[in-house]
Amino acid sequence: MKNSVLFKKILYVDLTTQKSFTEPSVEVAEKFIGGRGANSWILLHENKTFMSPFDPANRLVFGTGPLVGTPVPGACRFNVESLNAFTGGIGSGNAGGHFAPELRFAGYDHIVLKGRSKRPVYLFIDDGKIQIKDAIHLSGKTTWETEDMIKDELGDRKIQVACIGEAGENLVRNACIIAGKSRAIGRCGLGAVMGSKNLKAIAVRGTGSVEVARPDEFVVCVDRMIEKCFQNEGLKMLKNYGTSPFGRPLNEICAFVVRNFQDAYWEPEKLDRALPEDVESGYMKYRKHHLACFACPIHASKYWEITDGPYAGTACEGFEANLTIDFGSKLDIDYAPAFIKIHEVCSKLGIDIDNAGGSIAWAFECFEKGIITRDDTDGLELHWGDHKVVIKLLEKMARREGFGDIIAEGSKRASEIVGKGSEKYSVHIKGQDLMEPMRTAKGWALGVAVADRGGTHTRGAPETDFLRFPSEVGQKAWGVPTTDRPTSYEYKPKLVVYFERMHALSDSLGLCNILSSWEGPDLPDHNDYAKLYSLATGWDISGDEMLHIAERIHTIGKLFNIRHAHFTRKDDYPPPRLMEEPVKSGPLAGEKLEKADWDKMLDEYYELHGWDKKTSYPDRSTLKKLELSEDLLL
Amino acid sequence: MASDSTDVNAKVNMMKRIMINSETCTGCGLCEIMCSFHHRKVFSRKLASVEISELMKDGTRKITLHDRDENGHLSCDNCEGLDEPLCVTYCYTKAIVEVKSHEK
Repeated sequence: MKNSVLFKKILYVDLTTQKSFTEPSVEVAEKFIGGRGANSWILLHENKTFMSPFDPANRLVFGTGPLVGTPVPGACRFNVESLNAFTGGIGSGNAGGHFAPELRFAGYDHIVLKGRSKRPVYLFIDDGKIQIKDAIHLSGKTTWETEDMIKDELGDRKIQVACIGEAGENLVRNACIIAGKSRAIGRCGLGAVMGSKNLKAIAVRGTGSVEVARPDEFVVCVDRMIEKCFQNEGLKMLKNYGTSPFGRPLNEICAFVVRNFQDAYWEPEKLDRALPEDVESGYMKYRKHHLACFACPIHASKYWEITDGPYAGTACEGFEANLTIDFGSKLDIDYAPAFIKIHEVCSKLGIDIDNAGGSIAWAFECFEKGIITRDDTDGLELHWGDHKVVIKLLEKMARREGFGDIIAEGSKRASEIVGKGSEKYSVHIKGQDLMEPMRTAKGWALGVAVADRGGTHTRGAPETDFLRFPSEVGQKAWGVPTTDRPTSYEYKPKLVVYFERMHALSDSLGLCNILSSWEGPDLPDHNDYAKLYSLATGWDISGDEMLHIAERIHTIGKLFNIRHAHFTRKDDYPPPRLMEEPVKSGPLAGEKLEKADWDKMLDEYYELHGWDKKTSYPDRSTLKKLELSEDLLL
Repeated sequence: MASDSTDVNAKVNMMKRIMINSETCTGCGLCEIMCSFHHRKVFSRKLASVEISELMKDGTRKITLHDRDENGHLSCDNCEGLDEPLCVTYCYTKAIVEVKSHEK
């Protein structure tokens, strides 16, 4: 076995027996790096097929990446993997902030949780000391109250906390885990999995160090990466404004989600009200400070404080581009301060914005179509654009009160409860509500549909479909001349497979994918990652070898889905609505996803991975090449 | 004794190469881990001579400079011998800037 100063330990905690032990993480790291890669491998090994998401035996695995704690730009991320509460396959989420470096400084790369505590507890990791502490007094508290109370009672304001709110405690499938009051381990119901273990929070204090094998050369390499980030035009915008205004240009290519996927082009007057062309003229007046994740020179996070109108007094970090779709165009809300308010409400209650936005949009459309009425919604009128009723629904969802109990399940299960044709309006992939627009940007759509965690743009979906790099740039960087043509199906599988590998690397190294070649070929890519990882570990790894490891990591998610959810080719198609109902208005009206073209893309995509075109399963020879046992297919 | 942004007095400026403006701190922590790199060739918040507070309720953070060894933090040595203190080099929002006319 190779060794390296870079790696720390894996902490195993059994919440039933309250016992814990550690193992070195280097052995898993050699094949899977860390973060998502190592988490997924541990989960695949420890979980049995008879387990369900809320079973005590289902593992909940936290993992930072081995570059976390170093000054590599964006080296601040942690991943959480477990059974997915929507799909039954792999659940996976990733967040930034300051929790991950604290865990590394405490001496851990991963935490593997199993079992269920009899009483509500929280885990306190104080460097080498592990304590399971009573959390009865934290029950029903918001994530913000929980974090403050834990810091107060432990007497250290530098403790980092990842916790659940009421939504997680009440096993709301739309629940997420919140770290540092605003960083979400979103999607997949991982907050509910944490709740099912009676685990309210993980608190960490780390006062140790992170070492690298060749420190002086490493820092020189880091300087080059920081320089790359500063040269990139997109990141200059992020420094000033964060991600929130980024949605606006998508409307030009009908890549919005309007009124629960009824359309993909938002009326310009609404777009202008929500996201004005002159960014400074709108809600930017509420931007109070620039904030950064750990080790990030870009400081894309903003601290917002609303000073007027119905939500005056709201103050929080966060509010990113997703929200302008989830609770903007998708619900026809064009009042920007409501986005900030809703972000605050979701953060406090521990609700995932992407999933909750989908469930609520489904309910709004069912109300519009007369499938549900005030008799079903506890007297609430659900009309497009009404942000006040959205806040009421979020509170009911977190507490599973009345109609909130139904939408807490996500739109697929909610539609099965309600029936009456409401199933038609549930837009989901593999059972999880879809956040992403898909009709016009074909490569992006492919990346979203095939993603292992059940619809997401943070696997292989290429940003180039929106950023539209010139053809010659795409050809030079990725051998793809269609980077300027979102509606083209040509070459897109090649891009998707490349970015699946890039994300596997960034998620496993603990790096932010915004500061990677996903956002532009001038930003750090797999060759840069190889240099950083080689200098940090002291191992000599090439860019091609990094891509090989990335393919292995990506394949683990696939194998987990085959074993636990029995997904096949049929599960890699877009929701029917996006193949049947074309875009109704805007410059690309008439555009939709075509079955024949999709099939061609899927064939090519499977071939690039070495997966069977009929079943979508990896070929035995593919597994062998990746040094993975054939038994993993059983 | 530790000095912070509300305590940047003339005496400290005379002794130190750096001046602190906590208002523009984003909390990235690069100053801390590059400071510990300067001292010990490792990355650590605890060993650093600069210390960033948690995010406070008004959305800001406070930077403290340790000019003696205390609570594990190593004393600032002005990065003597370097063209510029590393905390200054790695602060991109001018929350820590160099005082060019300092006296050694």
